[in-house]
Amino acid sequence: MNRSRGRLDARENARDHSDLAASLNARIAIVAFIIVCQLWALTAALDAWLGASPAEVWLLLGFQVLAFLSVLLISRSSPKE
Amino acid sequence: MRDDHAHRRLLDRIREDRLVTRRDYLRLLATVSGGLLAGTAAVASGIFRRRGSGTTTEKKVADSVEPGDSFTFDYPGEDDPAIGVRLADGSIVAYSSVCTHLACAVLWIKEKNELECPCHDGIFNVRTGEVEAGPPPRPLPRIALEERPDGIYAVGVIE
Repeated sequence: MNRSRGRLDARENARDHSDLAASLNARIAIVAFIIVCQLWALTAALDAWLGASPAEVWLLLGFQVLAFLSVLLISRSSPKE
Repeated sequence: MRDDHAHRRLLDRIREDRLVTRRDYLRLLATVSGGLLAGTAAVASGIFRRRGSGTTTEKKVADSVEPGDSFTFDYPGEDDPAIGVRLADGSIVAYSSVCTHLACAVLWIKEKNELECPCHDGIFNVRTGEVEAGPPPRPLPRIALEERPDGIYAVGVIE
């Protein structure tokens, strides 16, 4: 009885761990995608600055702020063990 | 029994290490994200000097120029090379002579009636400074000139 209970616990632990890992992996993938977008935004902002389009630069800065807040939110809300 | 316990503890440690690594990776990505935000804020705050920007005081740049001829000068700063051209109709134009592609010197080609960057064959319209051919992504910054009895003066940068 105890042995079968132990096996069930081990299986649940493994499933929990795999769910946790999948959740963290998904978060890393989303954050990595946001960072790629941020890289693009930085180059676009530099180009806009050199092309004397300050309005565009501020718009891209706004995007960067939103992106960073999203990254913070995603990383802070990651599930605890 | 003891071995079983030790084995389980070892597995727990390995799992925990893997989780820590993933969390650390997420933290690292968040730091990179913050760095990119800081970089864009630096661009927006004007930390990088834009060529042709700066104080635009009046400056005498030439005494006189014949139609079809060009002259070079530095404006608005001493490190901002510029080129002026008197067109065939008598009007006079001036631009920053730094190519907007990779900062080579832009030259006046009288025979073709165009401003050309010889590095990558960028061609700019001499009347407007707009890109007509080649890789430059932006037009040349234009410099406003005024003709006075004692010479030609640069009076500002038109962006």
